[in-house]
Amino acid sequence: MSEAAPRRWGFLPLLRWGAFGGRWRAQPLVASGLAVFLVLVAFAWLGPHLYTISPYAIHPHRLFRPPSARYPFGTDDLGRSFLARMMYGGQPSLGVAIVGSVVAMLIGLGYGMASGLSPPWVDKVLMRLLDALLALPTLVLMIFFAAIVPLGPLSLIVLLGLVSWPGLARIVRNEVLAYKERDYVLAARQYGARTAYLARKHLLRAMFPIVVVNATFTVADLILTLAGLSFLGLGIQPPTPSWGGLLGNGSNLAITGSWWLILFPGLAILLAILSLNLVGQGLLNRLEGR
Amino acid sequence: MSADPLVAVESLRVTARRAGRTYPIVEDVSFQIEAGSLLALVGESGCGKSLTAAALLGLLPWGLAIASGRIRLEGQDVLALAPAQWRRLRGRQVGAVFQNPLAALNPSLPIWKQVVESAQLAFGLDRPAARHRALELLERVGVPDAAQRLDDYPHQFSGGMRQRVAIAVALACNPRVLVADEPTTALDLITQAEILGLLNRLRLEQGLAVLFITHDLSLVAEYADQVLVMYAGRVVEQAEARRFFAGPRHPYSRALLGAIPRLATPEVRLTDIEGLPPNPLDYPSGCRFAPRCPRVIDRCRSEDPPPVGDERQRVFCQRPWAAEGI
Amino acid sequence: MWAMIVRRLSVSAISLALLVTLVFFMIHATPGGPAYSILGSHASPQAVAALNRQMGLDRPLPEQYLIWWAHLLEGRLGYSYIQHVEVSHLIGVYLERTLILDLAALGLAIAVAIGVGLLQGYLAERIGGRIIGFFQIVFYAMPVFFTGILLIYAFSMQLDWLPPGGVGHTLAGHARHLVLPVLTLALPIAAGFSRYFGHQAREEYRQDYVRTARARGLCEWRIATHHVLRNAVRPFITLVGMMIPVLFVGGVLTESVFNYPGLGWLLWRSALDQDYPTVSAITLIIGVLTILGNLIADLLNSMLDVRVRYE
Repeated sequence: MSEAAPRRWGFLPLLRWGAFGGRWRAQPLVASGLAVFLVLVAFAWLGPHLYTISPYAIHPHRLFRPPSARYPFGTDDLGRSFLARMMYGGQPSLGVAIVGSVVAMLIGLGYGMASGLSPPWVDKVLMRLLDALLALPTLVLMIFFAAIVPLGPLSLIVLLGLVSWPGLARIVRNEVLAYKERDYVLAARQYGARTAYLARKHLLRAMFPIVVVNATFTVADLILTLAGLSFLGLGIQPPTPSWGGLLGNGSNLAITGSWWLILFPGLAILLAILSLNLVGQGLLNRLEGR
Repeated sequence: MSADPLVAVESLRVTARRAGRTYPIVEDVSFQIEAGSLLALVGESGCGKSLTAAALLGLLPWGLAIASGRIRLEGQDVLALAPAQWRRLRGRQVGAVFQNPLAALNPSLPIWKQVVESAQLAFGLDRPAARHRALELLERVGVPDAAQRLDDYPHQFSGGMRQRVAIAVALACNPRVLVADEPTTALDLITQAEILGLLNRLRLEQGLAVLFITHDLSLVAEYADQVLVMYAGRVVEQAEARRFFAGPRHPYSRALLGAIPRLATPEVRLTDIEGLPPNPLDYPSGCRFAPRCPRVIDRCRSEDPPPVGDERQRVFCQRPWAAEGI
Repeated sequence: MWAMIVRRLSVSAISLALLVTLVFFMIHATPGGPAYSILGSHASPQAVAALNRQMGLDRPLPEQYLIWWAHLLEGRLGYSYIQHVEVSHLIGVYLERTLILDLAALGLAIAVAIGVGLLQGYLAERIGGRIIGFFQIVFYAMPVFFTGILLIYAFSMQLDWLPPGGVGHTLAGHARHLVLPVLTLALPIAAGFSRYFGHQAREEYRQDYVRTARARGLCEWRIATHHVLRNAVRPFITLVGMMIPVLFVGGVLTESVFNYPGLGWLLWRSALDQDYPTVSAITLIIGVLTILGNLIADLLNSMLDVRVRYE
């Protein structure tokens, strides 16, 4: 980030690579990570239009078939096409995590800005509360809620958003404190700019790159959390497929030697997390000028 | 002087590998240093002087290698040694002091441990003996109240004191050769003079052969026995110090002497010479100094400069300045 | 120094108090209250009311809050209506198993990370260093439940070398049962640690004191162990503190994959049984352990920092 005041970034902030110093093509990490993730997204949402076998159609005489031309990913314990289940399973696995991280981003941004712009004693109280929240890992909190209320896709999105914002809030707050000391903010204050105006005009824009980086990591974390939760049977419930749930099912059937029921969902989760980590790390390197 | 020099470097050539090609970084450097004698290796930053020293120590950075030549320490051909054998010579036969004393010591070890670490490993000293040896070394390099300061950490010392400690580290195993790579550049003027005086005293007392690397000719005028000027990886002038300072013959040497910086800022730009040294990956043909040389003629750009002069003052130049009669 | 310790302790105390409060509100924020989760959603209103009265849930919230605190300070974490025991009786033995697994994995991860990180720092941009870097990124992203199943599939199902889960009865049996879970849990942590530590080590290898050490004839092994390690290892302690949540999350999943009856496994089973007193007690314990872990890391770090400081 240069010292120069950030420029206007319009309504599609994700398309503004200028904030990261431009030339994102020169970032092999970002480009390759993004490519892999987009392939996974296409697999989940476009795949079912190309491979039209139903993920719910049961074939009792075709159980545990290894991968073949008709069933490229084999069939499961009920003879369902595993490729179809993998495609449909991608939608909640990725979608819930992406939307959930948007929720987390909004809460974290608001909380962090509020904390950073508040008087120091309010800031202190809010930060201690964050410490307490951060002591509870996302997955543990989600298990807690899953034990009390049954979770559907919508409640998963809301809860994942509600439990995964504190990390972002802390980063935003630290950035706010740093930016408060910057010359142009001090200058604006001299001219009598109000806190709310400052937040909108300067901080929000200055915050944008770091928020995008952390949102990327948050999506990866939520994919992992959701997959873990579904793996444990506490997330997305069968018969709706999800990658975590499919992997959990596959692991219960490992004794049958059906490796494809383990390998494909595991690889999908791994690739999703890996690709987003690469994007986030690439952007972070860019921000830190490495 | 004895006929058998402590250091003898012959036709040293160091190359870098980049993208499958090799580039010469240091070419055809030869010199000898006798016991109790000081050779000043002079040049701008990037001329290959530090790499020459690194080659002598066997500490070339990764990606660089000695392509040809010969290095003898006390008569022993070190390039013929296995890496582990060569490593054992470091510290025992050749010690080294580097530019930045602030970074040269490990920040998280008390200094006495660092001073005698190599001696402990070499001679198997026990703790009291090692502490005694550390005290002796620190006193020899002039650290005041050395007995009280053995357990101090590097950050508790000033820059000049740290350089003294670094010299003590280098001398721990009584090496007979000392490589000093810009040891005073990072220090203020008064401290510079003190450190130089200390090095000179140690050289005379212990008969050290010193390779002193600097970009500042004025520093070594008083102490050097020989001067070797490098430019862009090549020797341009090599002479006895008295002759050299009486009259350097290479235009670059003259420029260096004319451009002696008044303030000791590290890696100072030589403003009296137009332009910058060439990039090692893209050396010009002919004389490498030609693009910046005030006395350049056409032949300089096409032919390598021939050696001119004798053993006592040799210069590689098409149009050297005349020798001053001594 | 002491002032710093007192300040740090008070910060942790505040965090702990807030954590306890938070868990209290999380329990009481459930729609219909805890009684519904115990009796199921089809329970009659009379049964719910009776249970509420029995558990003291009909009292005003502030009073319940004080009772909650009083019970905690007595060491009573609640009563499991599913297992019909005090939760605190359950926790002890499960916690011990979890600590064994987590500490073994942490120790293995640290040992591997130090070795790999030093090697990576030494190799720097060389091809070997890049290969290490690639595997670190991949293993760090590897979900433990995927690693776990792959290991079970390979070493238990196909090769039949090690048990796929559970615990042993003899010491040797116990160790055999621990091998795969420890490897599984240690893998992503070792990857994360070694990536960070490798970066630190690389920075240290660039320092002049390494060159000075080489110039006085020290061997690479001694430079790595006596010089680089000493300087690179300090931020490491903070990192261990930061990795504690990762350890617990990984622990929950690893214990579930391997049916290893530790705290995480108990959390999972209790969640499936909707045994909310047990779940909330374990949640609280994990939070407390995390805060304590961070506290210890911070204190250790500042003690080391007082002794030596960079410029």
